[in-house]
Amino acid sequence: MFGNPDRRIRVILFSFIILFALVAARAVFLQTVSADVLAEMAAEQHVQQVDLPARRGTIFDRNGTELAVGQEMKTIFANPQQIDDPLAAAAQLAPLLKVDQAELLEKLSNRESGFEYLARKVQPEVAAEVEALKIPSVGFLSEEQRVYPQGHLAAQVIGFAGTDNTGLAGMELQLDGALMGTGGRQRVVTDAGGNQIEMLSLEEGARGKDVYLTIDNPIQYEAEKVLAETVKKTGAKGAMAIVMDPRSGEIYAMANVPTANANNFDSTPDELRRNRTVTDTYEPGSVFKAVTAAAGLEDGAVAPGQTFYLPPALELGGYTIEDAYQRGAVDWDLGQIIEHSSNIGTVTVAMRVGAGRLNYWIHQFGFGRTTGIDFPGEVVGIVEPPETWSESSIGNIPIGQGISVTPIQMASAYAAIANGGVAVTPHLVKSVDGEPAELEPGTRVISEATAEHLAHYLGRVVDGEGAPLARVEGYSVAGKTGTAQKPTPDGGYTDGIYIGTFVGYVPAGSPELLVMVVVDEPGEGGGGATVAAPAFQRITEFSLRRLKISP
Amino acid sequence: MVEIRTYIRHFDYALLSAVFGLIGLGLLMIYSATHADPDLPSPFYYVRVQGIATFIGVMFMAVAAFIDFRNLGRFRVHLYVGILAMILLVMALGTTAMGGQRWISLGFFNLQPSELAKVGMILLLSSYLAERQRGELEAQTTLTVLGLAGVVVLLVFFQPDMGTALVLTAVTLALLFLYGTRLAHFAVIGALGTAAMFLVFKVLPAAGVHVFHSYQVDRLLVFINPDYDPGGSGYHLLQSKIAIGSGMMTGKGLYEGTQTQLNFLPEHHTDFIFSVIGEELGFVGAALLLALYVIVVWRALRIAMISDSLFGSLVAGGILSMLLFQVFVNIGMTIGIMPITGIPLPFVSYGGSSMVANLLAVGLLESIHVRSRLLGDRRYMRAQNAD
Repeated sequence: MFGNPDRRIRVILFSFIILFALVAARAVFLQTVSADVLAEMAAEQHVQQVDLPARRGTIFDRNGTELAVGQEMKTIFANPQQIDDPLAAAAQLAPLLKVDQAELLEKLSNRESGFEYLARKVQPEVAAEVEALKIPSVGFLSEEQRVYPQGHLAAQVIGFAGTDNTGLAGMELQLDGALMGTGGRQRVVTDAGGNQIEMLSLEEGARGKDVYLTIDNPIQYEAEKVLAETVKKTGAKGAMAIVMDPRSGEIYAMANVPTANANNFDSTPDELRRNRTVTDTYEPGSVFKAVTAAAGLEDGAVAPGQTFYLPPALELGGYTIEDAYQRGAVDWDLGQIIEHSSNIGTVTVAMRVGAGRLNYWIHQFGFGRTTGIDFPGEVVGIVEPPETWSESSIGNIPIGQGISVTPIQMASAYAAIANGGVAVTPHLVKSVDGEPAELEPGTRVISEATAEHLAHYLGRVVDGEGAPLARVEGYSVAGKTGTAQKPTPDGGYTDGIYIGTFVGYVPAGSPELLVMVVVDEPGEGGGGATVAAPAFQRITEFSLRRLKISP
Repeated sequence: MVEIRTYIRHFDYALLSAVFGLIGLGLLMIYSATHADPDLPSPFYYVRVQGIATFIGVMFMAVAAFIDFRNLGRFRVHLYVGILAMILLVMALGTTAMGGQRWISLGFFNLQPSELAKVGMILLLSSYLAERQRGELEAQTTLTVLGLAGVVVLLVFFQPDMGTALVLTAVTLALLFLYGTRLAHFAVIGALGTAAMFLVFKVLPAAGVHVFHSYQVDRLLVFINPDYDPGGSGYHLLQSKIAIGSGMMTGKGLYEGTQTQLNFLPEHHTDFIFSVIGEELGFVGAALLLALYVIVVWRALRIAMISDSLFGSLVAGGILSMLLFQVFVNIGMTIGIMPITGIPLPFVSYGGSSMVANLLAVGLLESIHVRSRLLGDRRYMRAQNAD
């Protein structure tokens, strides 16, 4: 029956008719039943949503000097699935991108991946050189790189923003919400090589807000310079300074030495990244005596001019308390006690006030809680409640030992005294997007009369023998020294390891400027009066001129 | 001598129209798929090369149509030697070039001998079969045809050009079938072929004898077919299905196919040109293409049936099988019912050798058609004169 070729041709034809029908049926199936799914897959492939990161706001100092700005950089990526010759591409790219050729080759040969970063945030000139190589599937993105034009200046205050352009520390973190802005979005048609062919829609984002800090660039610079020189001269471990307006709480400078390189924060050791004036505590020593004196005056435990018999040494709770300098028995009033920074005198006053009331006044001045400064990571310090005080605590705490405070707490307490007894919140933000920062009204801490008496006593410290190196020619300075023993990790103290502090304000009559200097471990013979006071003097003198404050 | 005018009058114009319809559609789609390529010296680059190939093909077609195909059978030995020589030459060139090569560069044109070998094999096998008396030494006939074709198939297979090897195999079997080979022979061929594959890939590995390691099988597959990609397998097929499916009923419009124009669809002007048609012209375009092929197949079938000689019937039937097989395997591959083998779509895919070979085949069909019609005329005239 199959002998006839014509018949056999029909058999072949019939088979192919069936096959053609199969093809047609399959095509109909693809183009009708699966069409929606396949069309969606097609759209997904060539229409892409691209997030447009918002540009980050700029951080300025109070005068408009740029402290942190966004700089447009290029990020280079590749689609390894579309690279024909990974070996040649790696050899060409490695020297331009300054990366290891083997590492680059590994990325480019990864056929599993459709997207690999080759270099993030390189200079636009480098990207242009790479583009000129015309390597298929290598693409470019604009990304913003945070740059700190002032380098190390106020680095710990400004903090830094990471690779993804979000704030990770300091004011960059504190103000992240305002600085980051809102990202945009665009829908684009891309070809198989990832090149953008056409823009379908664009949803514009908003640039982050600009921020002005209260920091004054020249004062900050001077403070850091003076501290660096002090550290160098004395061989100290480090130093800190706070320069502020006691009336408003505006901070002109917050210096931490050694400084950190803001443009290379990642490689900076953690302890140097911190703005230690806010995030670290220390035992303040004699500068704390002003708090005890204020408590005595406020509670009427001491009257101005009232004298006390002060023996050369005082036995308390098994410890012997002595003054810093050997003397015989004296009758001193509160002013003399502060002027000579008498430990025995201060403890005598404290005992008259009593542990409970003294604790009240310590808290009243803001110790044991945050000052509310607009800076992340503020710590509260350690203020033991009277219930846990030992027998010797009344001999320690009034003179600033056995209590731990942050420099900003101490500066705020003195600012309250300078400000006629009214405490204001220290702050770093002057305005956000042109809107002045909202300030809380000041709170009265001590009476005006008490503040006046204290101002008088603190003036005598500088005018007299207490801290002659803190004197500023032409101005009346009020201030207090402190040379505290540094506690060792086991809770004891070591001779010769001190922290020297000087905190003061000018003009003593109507203060407009408060400066605090803390020098960590200044070495043999170093203390508040010898090391911190001269630094205070230099910073204050500069700031007075800079701010045009008249005597 | 037959007058040229009479000769031309007897051409099968339905066949020619369908073929040139396919070529025109192909040129349009090649232009659409390639005109936006920024690396081209001109947007018409591929269209121009394909046009030149078409022109050369038409020359071959004309020559084939005007000469008496029956004379060609006399040259079958020369033809066979020529085919082997060309394929071996390509393989030699390929070896010196340190890699697989399927063509001989003629400067303006890369000649791919395996494409022309398809038409040559149809001619010489048909000629041999037509001279064999049916019922005598049938096994010898079958074995001779299998032997002649087998050598060429293996050479082409290792060239490597699996697509053409498959077409040659299909055409050989179709010719044997059309000739009237006993079905028992096919049963034996089928059984032996299946057994050999089963042995190499299943039984021996299961018995612990690995003729190939699995990685060697993978390599072999990649070697035979560069499109086979174990890592990103299915990428081509998926892209093809996405292109065709997203074209829906009426397509996205000429030059508007996103998957084609944005280069998601690979090989879009060669093996996957059907996907371009499906995407840009939709089902309507795909149906038009299939309709044109149906006309070609119908006319080829008719020519095979009206031919007065077994030789003519076999040649026409062989050409019909060759075209049908290529169309089915190519389109089947783009829609996911056949494996990806790299067989071009006749008259439509970009590729000069394929175009020339296919037009040459059309010329042979026309030659057979004209002979049959002239014969009919003469019989008619003889009948008239007898009155």
